[in-house]
Amino acid sequence: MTAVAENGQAATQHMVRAEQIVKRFGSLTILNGIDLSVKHGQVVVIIGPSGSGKTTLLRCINHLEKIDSGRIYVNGELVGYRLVKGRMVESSEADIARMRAKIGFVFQRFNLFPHLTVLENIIEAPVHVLGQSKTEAKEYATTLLGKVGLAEKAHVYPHKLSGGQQQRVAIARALAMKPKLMLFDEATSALDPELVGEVLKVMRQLAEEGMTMIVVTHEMGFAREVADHVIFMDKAIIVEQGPPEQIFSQAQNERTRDFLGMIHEE
Amino acid sequence: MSLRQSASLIIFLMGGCMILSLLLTAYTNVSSTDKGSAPNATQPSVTAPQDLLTPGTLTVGSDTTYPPQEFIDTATGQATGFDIDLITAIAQRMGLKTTIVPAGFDTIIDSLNAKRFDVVISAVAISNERKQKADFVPYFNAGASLLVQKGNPRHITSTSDLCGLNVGVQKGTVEQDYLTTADKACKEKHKSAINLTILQNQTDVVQLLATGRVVATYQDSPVTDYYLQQNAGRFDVGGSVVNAVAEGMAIRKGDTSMFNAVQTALNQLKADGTYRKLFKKWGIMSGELPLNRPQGVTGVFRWDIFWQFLFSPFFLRAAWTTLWISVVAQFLGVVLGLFLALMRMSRSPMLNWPARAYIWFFRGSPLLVQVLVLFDGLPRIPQAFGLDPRLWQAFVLGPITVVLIAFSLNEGAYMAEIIRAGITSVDAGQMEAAKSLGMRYALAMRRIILPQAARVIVPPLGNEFNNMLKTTSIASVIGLLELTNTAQIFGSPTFTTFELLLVATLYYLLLTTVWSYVQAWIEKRLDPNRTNKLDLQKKGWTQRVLGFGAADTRGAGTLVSGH
Ligand SMILES: Nc1ncnc2c1ncn2[C@@H]1O[C@H](COP(=O)(O)OP(=O)(O)OP(=O)(O)O)[C@@H](O)[C@H]1O
Ligand SMILES: [Mg+2]
Repeated sequence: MTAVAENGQAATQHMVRAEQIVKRFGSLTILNGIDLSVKHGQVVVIIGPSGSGKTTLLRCINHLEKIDSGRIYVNGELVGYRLVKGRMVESSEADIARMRAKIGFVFQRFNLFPHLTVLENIIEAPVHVLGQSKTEAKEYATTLLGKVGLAEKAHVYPHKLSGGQQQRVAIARALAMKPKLMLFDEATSALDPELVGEVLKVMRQLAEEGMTMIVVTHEMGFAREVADHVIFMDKAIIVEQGPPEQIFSQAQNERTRDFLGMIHEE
Repeated sequence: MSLRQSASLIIFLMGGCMILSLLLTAYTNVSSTDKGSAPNATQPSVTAPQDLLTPGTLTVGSDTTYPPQEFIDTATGQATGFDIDLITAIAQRMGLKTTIVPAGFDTIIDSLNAKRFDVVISAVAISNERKQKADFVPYFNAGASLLVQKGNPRHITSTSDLCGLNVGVQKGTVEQDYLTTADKACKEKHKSAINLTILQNQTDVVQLLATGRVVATYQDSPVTDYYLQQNAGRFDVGGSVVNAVAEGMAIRKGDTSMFNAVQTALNQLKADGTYRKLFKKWGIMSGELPLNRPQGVTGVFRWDIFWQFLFSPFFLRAAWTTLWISVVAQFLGVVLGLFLALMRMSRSPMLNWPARAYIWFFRGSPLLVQVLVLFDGLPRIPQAFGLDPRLWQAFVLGPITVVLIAFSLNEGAYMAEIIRAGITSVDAGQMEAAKSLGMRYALAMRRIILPQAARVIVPPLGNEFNNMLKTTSIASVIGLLELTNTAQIFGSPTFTTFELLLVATLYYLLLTTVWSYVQAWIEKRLDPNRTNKLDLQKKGWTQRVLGFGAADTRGAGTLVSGH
């Protein structure tokens, strides 16, 4: 985990840079002017009460949701839109897909492909999106499966796996695309408590290897140990942010303190 | 769906249409009965008419369910009868071969004008109304007469005796008109109306009399004579022949070279005695029995006919027709349905609304009507819009083309809803996961969504195909020789339609039974439990080779590593 030098252009210096994102669903404002910057190799953890807009923010970053205003750059590239005479025009489907291929997304509910085996799940996109040969893709998939501790499950169908194993496969599937950025949306909250650890372990390992990650989670222990930067969101805005020590021990905002107090009581 | 996707969709559909039309051109001529009789000893003595549909061949339209004038010889499967012999002789005079195209009587003149054939010979009585639509070369004098039960128990001597009685008549005949007039007369005299049963085939009409459903049938006098002779001791003639009019060969208005050629050839045949010989041969007005095969109406189930036809080439061919039409129409229906389902699910109203309208229309109107509109209605469009006559022929589709188009279009609407339900059943997270991996919509559909939707789609798809196999019977209305029509056409000359419908039923049952096994097999392959079996095999293999894990760790074993 190396902090990247603070100088240089904003667009190139930051892996993710979001400016004044506004997202509405009908009359409901879900994201109300979010600014965010994530440096290369940084692990940013987002916490906040249910409904505060955490998932929506992650989905905007790889354009699973359109935004109503603001700009998002990933690796210096505008996400989901291009500028035509100063106006934001939605990119072509191909461009959006190309952009998404570089961003890994891990879902709360795993979303493995049930009709494919573990190995097939992992090589599907490398073969059909990146155009890798099957042998090449399988080789890398096997390495990744070893890394998440599931080498022997290659030919098993997902429904035969525990939740923790499925989530690790989902992480391997995302990694197979060699992403520059990984987004985790409550990757462990659908799991039985005894299975949470195996997934967090993989995520921690990934962080140590220098992957840039944005992690939405309720696992405060993980946030405290792994995060470089913690963001607290509530009611569509970022209420407070800073290094984990600061947020967890000396939060300035009352809402942050209330939220953390509630979490600890659980 | 983006614009780019809709563009590729349109290209795909156009490709589909091209394949369809290729198939169609390959099969358009299947239904016609080729007489194949080359002009033998007789040298051509009449100049052949110009602009034949098929050069060297006279294409003749005829409703071949009307013995003795035109019917199917059950032994050969070919059209035969007085009219058929006459037109064949006429064609020989012109140095032409003859092809008989089976056609429905009530639309036969329209089909002539739509250029489905060069000429019609089908016991068509010349009426003023018909003379508006076509020109006629008279070749036969016939009146109308009543066929009644032996001994004429109801004392029927004219149509005015029919008030309040059950009477049978063939659809589209002049006798039907006469009976409508007689019915009006009944009402004017404050008598009960005539209770008419109107059927497609003359033989089915006589069958009504044989089974006692009607007390009289009304038809052309030679036909009455013929049935009287064929069923000695069963029927009588009620009264005398009335309204004697000429029957004529119908020729398109303005086709003077055809008219002259037919007229000249007929005159020659009359002059050299051929015409008289044919009269004798078919027993018309001579009292001779022309055929030595048993033809009578009987109450007994004709096992001999049943066995004779059970494995006959006619039914095997009909079963094949039924099968391949079903397969092609179902396939095209699925392809069309897939695109309609995707359009229907699109958020763009430009794609969404046309799909909705399409599904609404095709699910809301009867298939039979769609078939008839394509067959009879389409050829009228170019005339109505005053298009160049050279384009007209393009609007005249053969029976197989019509059936394939109508069935595929109709099936597409049903499949659209089935496929939509299948796609909707797949968890929305699957599409999101696919997109987050950089897959585009089409790829995600093909590789991720549709394979999962298949499990939901296949069972109703199987039922659709089962239905399709039986729905092909609708094609009989435009003369296609599928199973049902084959039973009717071959059954009518010998009054064994019932026996042959039973044969057809056995073929339907065979097809649907075989399909039910195929369907079960496909469903088993898509069954998620089958993947368990695969698991087992693969697991067993890893266990054997790598030597870890007991045989049943699978169910309980969850944690392998991670702590
Ligand atoms: N597609 C949608 N249409 C309408 N409202 C939506 C949609 N998706 C999310 N919302 C609303 O947006 C708000 C924020 O949702 P979001 O899922 O981003 O919250 P969250 O912070 O991830 O909450 P949780 O911790 O429960 O996952 C919620 O009130 C939710 O109901
Ligand atoms: Mg959420």
